[in-house]
Amino acid sequence: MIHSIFKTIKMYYNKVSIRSAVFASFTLSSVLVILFIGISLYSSFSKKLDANVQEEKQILINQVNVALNSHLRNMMRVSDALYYSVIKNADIRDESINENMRLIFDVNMDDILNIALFDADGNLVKIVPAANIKDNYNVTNAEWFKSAMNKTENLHFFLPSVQNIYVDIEYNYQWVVSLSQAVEITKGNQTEQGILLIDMKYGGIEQILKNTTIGTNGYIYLMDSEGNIIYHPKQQLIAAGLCSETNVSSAKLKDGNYEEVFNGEKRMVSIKSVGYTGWKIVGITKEQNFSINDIQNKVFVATVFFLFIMILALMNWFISSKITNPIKMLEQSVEYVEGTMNEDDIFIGGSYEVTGLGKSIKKMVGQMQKLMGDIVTEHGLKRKSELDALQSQINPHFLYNTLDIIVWMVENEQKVEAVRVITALARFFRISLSKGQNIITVADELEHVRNYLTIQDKRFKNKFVYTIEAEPETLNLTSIKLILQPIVENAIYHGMEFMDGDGFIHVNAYIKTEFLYMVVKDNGLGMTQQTADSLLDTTVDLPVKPDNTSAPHKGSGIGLRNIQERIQLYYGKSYGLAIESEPDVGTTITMRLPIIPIEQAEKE
Amino acid sequence: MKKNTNLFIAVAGLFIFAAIFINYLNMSQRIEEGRIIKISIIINDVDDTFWKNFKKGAGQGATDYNVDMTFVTLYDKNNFSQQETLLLREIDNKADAIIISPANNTDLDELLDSMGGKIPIISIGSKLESSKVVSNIMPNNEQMGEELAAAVGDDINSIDKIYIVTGQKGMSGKDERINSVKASLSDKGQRITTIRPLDDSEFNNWLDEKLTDNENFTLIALEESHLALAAQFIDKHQISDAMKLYGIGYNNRLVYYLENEVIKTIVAPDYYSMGYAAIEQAVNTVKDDVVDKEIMIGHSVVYPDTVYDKKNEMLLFPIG
Repeated sequence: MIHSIFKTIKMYYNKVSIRSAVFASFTLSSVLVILFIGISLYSSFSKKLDANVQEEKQILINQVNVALNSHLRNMMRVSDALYYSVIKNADIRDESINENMRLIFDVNMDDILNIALFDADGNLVKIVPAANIKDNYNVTNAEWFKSAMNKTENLHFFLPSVQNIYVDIEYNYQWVVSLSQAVEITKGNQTEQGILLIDMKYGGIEQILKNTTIGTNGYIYLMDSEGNIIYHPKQQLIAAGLCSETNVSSAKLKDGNYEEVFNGEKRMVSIKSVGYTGWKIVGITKEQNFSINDIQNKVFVATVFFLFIMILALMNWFISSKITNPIKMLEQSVEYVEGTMNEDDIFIGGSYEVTGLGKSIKKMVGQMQKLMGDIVTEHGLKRKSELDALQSQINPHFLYNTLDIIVWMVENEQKVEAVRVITALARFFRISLSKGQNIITVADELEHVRNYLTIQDKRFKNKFVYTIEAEPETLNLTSIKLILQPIVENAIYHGMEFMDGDGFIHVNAYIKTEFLYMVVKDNGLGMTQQTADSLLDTTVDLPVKPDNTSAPHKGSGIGLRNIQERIQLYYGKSYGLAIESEPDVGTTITMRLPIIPIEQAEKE
Repeated sequence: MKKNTNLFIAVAGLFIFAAIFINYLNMSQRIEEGRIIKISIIINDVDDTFWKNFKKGAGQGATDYNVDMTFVTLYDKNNFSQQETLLLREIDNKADAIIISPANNTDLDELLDSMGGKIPIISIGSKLESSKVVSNIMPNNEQMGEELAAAVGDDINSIDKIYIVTGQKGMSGKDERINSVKASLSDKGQRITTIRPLDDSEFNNWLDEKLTDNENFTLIALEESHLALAAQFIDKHQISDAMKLYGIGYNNRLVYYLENEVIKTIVAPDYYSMGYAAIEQAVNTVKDDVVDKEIMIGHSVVYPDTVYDKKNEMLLFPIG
């Protein structure tokens, strides 16, 4: 599977352009990195935030618990102080009890509405501040009275209620939390059961809890051990049925943190018990407050990610374009140059490397242009040389002279000789033309020379003798057409023409040290070596005849330079002619050619 | 190549714009959620004696929904002209919504229909018909009348006279009350007389006349102010046996009278819930959320011995 994935990726990269590959690679790698880092950070941050929120909530609840505990314990201390320090062991008829009760009340009047002492029959014994019991109020039937009478050892806390025991001429109906305790009342020598009732102002408890919020939408409420709400920020709405709470189910839970779903909303419930009373503080946190995983945050994070990725993709697009556009333009210019072959059409630009590449290509195109030009020139020269050579072969003087000889022979009934000359002439021209081929065998070239010498031998009547030799292995090698005969012609016209016999021309073809050599040697007039060297030097003008003309010679008229040029054009500068000459001794012209069998040349 | 680049830029730009726009909507929603909404409450009364619980409920709603609440009272009760002035003033003050207790339903409907602008109006206590009113929040006046009549019916005999005191005509809620009380009591065979005093002094004069006449009768007060005046009168003259008083509405003093059986029975609307619901509906309107066209709030029939029942205790004396 992994192999096929890699294969697919490789195929993709092979098919697409550089820009697409660069863009895709940059963007994909960046996106992966961003996603990895982003998800890691988000996850880590989310967890840390959750943990922090939970910790802070716990601290808050603990603080509220401490405050509430403190408040309730304070009330309990007041109750105990009233009993042990004021009521117990003091005669109830004593006025000092009133004073002491008043004293304690005054100190705690912010938190306490009333302090009252009742006997076992429910009669009001003492009360601060002074008040009368309502006519229709049955003390002994009250819950606070009955509970205290039943369990005398405990202090009893009750759910909040509107205080309805005493007459209030100012029409105040205040919410209180009652605390009752069984006490012993002393009347003279008798002690009897009584009940101490302290009505704590509800506001004291409310104050501790009201301003405590957990996050934006979290809250704290207080309930008793059975789930009855003591304080809730929406207590009134719950009573009116406009709101609901999970207090009943939460009452069954022990202290700790719990997750719940309420009205389709996920929230965290933290429960902490309040000391003596068994009440429970419940902290509610909605998911949006203890986690950043709500829809809004997710949308925000997702859109920010997406935004970054799109911006990154845009940047990658521009960068990849910036890098690859010059390459593309270079590619297009190279395509264009294929047609025009003009180096100026090559695009130079882009990054350092692309600019360098463009310049190299431009140079290369320039060199190609030059080489092509050289080739064209070379071909032109070759064609010109061949034309020159061909043209000279059909030099009218040579033809006229040869035909004269033939006529003379025919008139003098030298038929055999005439036939021989005609045959030689025909063969001479056949090889000269060679069906337009420039490369012929050494054997044909020697045959060509032989025919020429046969004709010239008749013209120059025993002025010279000639030999033509060739190693057998040279016969099938390639030679350029019409390179020997002109040299032989030169030997005749420059060497033999003015001799009085005993002239000889020797033509030889052999192989030596991996080269083909063809040599034309004569014992003619010769020339100085300097003159000989200048014959091939293109920078030097051709030697001038005594009559100051450099008119072409009689006969073929092809110069040595033409032969040299043609050899080097075909085979290279390391091949060509070498002239050795000495005045009155003779001249040896050596031609060096490569060894190329004719079959090989024909294949090429 | 250039075409591809332009296309890519266009697509990328579109996506970037979409991302920014979605984020903007997201942020706007957050900002909207945190926005403070200004709501004005115009009550048809000279003081808020009977409106304490309503104010508590509205206050709770203001806390829950991040509302800046303004409470406005009239100089004269049932004075439509004053209410009109106050309404126009609050509109000028750029309130996001206005909660109003109509001084005169018919006149207020006409005024609202003639007004331009788009400030939503929430009516409390009685029903308005104007299209500008997005929600009517009121107690079930008909049912209150029936239950009050039932409480009265339990106490009276066939020869007793019954007087029903109520406000001027045109207050739809109060008309429903009186109609249902009359309908419920009609089969009892009593003589039922409706009195509509123009103001408090006229009503006091009427009470004095009755005292002078030394007449035994049952008085049913369908408005808090009349109930308070009558209770005060009865308590002062200690004639609770001769003049049996029943009514709709309450405050601490009336509860005191009820406890002492100066008033025999009170039907107590849940004003706290009305205040909360009014704020809630106003906020829903401003935020283009779902708004209930009509909301009936609950009520309770309270007797002297049931004042401190849990339900009545919470309704009469909202905690906090």
